[in-house]
Amino acid sequence: MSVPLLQALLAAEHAAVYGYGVVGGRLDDAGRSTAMAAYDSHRARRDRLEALLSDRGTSPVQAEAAYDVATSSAEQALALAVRIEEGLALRWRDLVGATDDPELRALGIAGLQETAVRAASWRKQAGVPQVTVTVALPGSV
Amino acid sequence: MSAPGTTSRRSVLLGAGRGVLAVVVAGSVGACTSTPEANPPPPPDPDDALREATADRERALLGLYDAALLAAPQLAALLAPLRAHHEVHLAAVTDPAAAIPSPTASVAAASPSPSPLPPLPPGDARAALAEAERTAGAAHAADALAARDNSLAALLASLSASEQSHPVALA
Repeated sequence: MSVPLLQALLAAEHAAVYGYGVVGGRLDDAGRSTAMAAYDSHRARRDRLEALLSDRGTSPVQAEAAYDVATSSAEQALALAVRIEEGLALRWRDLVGATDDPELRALGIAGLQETAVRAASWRKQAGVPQVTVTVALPGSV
Repeated sequence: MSAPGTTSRRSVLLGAGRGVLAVVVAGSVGACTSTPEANPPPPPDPDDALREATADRERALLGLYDAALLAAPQLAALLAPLRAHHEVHLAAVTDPAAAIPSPTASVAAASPSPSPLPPLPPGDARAALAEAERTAGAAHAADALAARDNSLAALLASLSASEQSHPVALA
């Protein structure tokens, strides 16, 4: 039951790892350092998901050769980072809402927390109005 | 027809009133539980305790925001949207049907309670709120792990993620 959700998460993490490589290249030193920390975090999540899928006897979905994440400015890069985190928040919440497995549930809770914190950081860095830096229900559309 | 018998019965009824009442109550309880057709009271849902604990934490956070708004009114633009999230959270755990965010309405409704408090430096207020958010977020996450119902787990995880993100805004 959880395999399709884990595969969807893995596909999103592949895209996030690729996307943060692009984001980092558009930001100043401080922003690039934050982007690289996010990149490392998503790589770790990707590796964990691949291991969980292999444990379940399933072939982990592969990364695409490229993703449509063209950005031409720091502003667009920040918007991309927010989109990456918001998209993952939806999938982490889906996982929590679909599993009784304590390991997967704990992973989903931690994933949702991390994406919410990073999304807020990127929104703040992008200079959005104070009222939209954080959201009431991360992972909800 | 013996007077002692009548007296005896009356003394039982009057003198042992509590005992009679206890027997009547016990009898009616016994009748309920022993009748298969009667609806037995449902066993308490362990998730109810998690919902109540979460609601208590949200009420406590709302109280802290009210106190901070009173002590440092210059922070209203920063604090009101975060306080509004806690209104959404409280509604979501007490009435799941009400879990639709309406930040603008809640911001307008946010008003500090009139309890007297010593003035608080804005920096201290922000740091204290950030700490309270992290603590509540960790407790929500623990309850999300413990929840039996998956949809409650997802809701508590989302509340936890929201609290953990609030210190970003408060920094």
